[in-house]
Amino acid sequence: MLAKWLNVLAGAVSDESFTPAVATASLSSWEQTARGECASLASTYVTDMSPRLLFDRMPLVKCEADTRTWLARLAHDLWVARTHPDLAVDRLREATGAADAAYLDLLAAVARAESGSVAEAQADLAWHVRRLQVAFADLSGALSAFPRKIQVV
Amino acid sequence: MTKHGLLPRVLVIDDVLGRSHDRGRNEERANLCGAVLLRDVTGDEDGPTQDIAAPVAEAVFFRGQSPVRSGIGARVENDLEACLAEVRAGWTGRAPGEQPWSLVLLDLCFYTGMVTSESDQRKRGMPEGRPRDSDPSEYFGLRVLEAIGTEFPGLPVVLLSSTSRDDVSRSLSVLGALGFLNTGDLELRRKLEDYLWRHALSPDATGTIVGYSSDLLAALRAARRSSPAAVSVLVQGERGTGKELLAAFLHRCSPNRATGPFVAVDAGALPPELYASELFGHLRGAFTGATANRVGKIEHANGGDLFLDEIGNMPAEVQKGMIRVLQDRHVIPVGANEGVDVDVRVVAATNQDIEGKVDLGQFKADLLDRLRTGGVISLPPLRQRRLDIPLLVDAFFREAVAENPNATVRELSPDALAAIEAEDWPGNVRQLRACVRKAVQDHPDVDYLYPLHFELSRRTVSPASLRVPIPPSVDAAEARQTSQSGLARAAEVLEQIDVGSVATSDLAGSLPPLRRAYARLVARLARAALEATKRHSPENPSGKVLIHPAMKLLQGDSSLTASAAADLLKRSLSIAPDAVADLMQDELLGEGYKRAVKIRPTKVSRRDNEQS
Repeated sequence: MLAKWLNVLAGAVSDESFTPAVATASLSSWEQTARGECASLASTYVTDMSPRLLFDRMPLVKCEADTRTWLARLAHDLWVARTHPDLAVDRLREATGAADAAYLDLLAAVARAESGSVAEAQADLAWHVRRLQVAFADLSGALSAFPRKIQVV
Repeated sequence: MTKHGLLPRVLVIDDVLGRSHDRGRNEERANLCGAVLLRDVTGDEDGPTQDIAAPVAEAVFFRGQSPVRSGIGARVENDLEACLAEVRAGWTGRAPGEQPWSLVLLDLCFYTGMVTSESDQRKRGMPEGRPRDSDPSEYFGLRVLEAIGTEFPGLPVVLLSSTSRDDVSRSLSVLGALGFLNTGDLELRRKLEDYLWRHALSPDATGTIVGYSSDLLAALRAARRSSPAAVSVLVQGERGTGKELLAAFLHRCSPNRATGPFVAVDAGALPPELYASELFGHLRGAFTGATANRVGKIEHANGGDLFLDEIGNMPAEVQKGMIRVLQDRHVIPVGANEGVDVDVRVVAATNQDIEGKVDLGQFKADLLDRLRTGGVISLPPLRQRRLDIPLLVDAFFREAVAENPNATVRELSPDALAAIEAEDWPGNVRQLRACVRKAVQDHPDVDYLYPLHFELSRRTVSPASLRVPIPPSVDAAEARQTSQSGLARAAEVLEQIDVGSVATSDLAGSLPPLRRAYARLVARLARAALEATKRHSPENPSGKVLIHPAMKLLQGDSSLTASAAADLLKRSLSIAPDAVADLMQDELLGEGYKRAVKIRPTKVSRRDNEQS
């Protein structure tokens, strides 16, 4: 949608039903759901994906309590050392913040466009749309670093 | 006739983009089209439209599932047979003159199952999906890709998906996909344009090279692929297939040579002794007749392309010089000791078995190797692209009519097109063009061109009935005119009938049915005269058609000259062309008319028809 918006602003596409208001309305899913989901993933990933959880389930839950304590911690530390989940989480947090900032700036640019000169507003809007487009692409890259499947070997 | 579309025609098979709604448009589809500048020509929506100023392609969207439209409660399933039917309709099953698919963009992950209120809320008409839908090993898109590769080899397919390329990189290579486009890619539009350029079987956007047949489109694609490189290319094809046009197309497509010169040399037309001079140039005094320095065609093509036709006729000495040009990028004029550096790409062409000539020692193998460094492009003969004949005829017809502004010719009859399509055309497109142009030029005064107006080797028209048909029912106005006075007038005119001298204005206007009947009568008389005066011989047992004696017989005038006889026959058959249209399909009359036009090709005006 953002790519189309850029083409509309450049005059390559004309669509009377595609207005800045319509475009930003379709982007509202960012602040309604996606932003929260990204933040939630970043804050819970390490806890939810740690192999430590396996010690709360069969069969590892049958280990002695002392063994479970140090072994679970060891498994967690090894996992962190080998996969560096903190890096992916940090990148996700940064990308989420950048996308959110670009989104809010775009909303402000849309508001300005309704009051300022057309030419300046077009250029300003195009810059912000492009910025949000890049930010979402970065966020997509950050999310792709997280595993989509979990394999227990 | 089909209008020649010049944009690539893309089929997009995608569950999200291909679905349609009872009300409104598919916004995801509109967004993609707006993002990559595709013109949606699916025709399944009634929502607001968007205009793409300069589309890169036309696109037809297909869901690949049943049903195409789904609401809450519907069960959506993948439909491989429907996918193949949709592909088939625009590939092997298309009508003559219809543009085929240039490229297929194919999604990977197709969601199936029930459409619930939640899934409909997320995306209108989309089902919940099943776990296996998003399993790369179960992707429906890969099944479609495999089926397309099996049934329609040669049809270019590119994957278009929001999923990761890494999951399918091996499969897409094995199953024959030409590439992968990620819908989230910031460079999606540029990459799609790249794929269309490199892989799509697209027609010539300028309309110079006309046609949609697979072999021709493959040749155009090969030319596009070769165009960026600075190395030589060899074009092979029979005479008249458009080798020079293809070379010019390749030149136009080249990003770094299109602004340079395009110089064409017909090597077959050069006398051997002037061959070297023509190509390499010469110094004054280099040979008898060289009175001044001359720059050769190779230097003229510096910075651009040199088209060398009929390279099989190149003399051995010249072949050596060409090797130097291709190898060292250096040309030495005849008579000179030093030369100049040149940056020339050579596009060579031949209709001969050039490798056979190498085997016979008539053509240098290393020159041939250098000429085809950039590849060999084959142009199909016209008999292998019969689907293009209607398009070509239409283009040449319009061209000829535009060059004859006073011509009244409006249309080719279906019989004429059928007869043209039945020909072998050994001279290929060039011969076809000459034939169509000649038909228009020789018959500028008729409204419709029939087979008899074309010089065809076989005329397959059905024999015309010579029975004078009952005229169409006379309308009330005509009936009122058929009065006693009108009949008396008709009787008076008919008693004075003298073929070729009666003023048809006497018959026109007040008695149209009589005019038509008169025209048919004269045509029948002319036919009888032609039949009676045929000259039969052992070499020509069916008899040679002779206009001069036939018209002398018809007119009853032995002093009639040959040119006057030709005029007479033409006038006799032009009294009311619509009334004799079916008679004109008769072989004998057609042959006679054709010969008359050959003898007297100048226009016979209405004034000539009415003798004072």
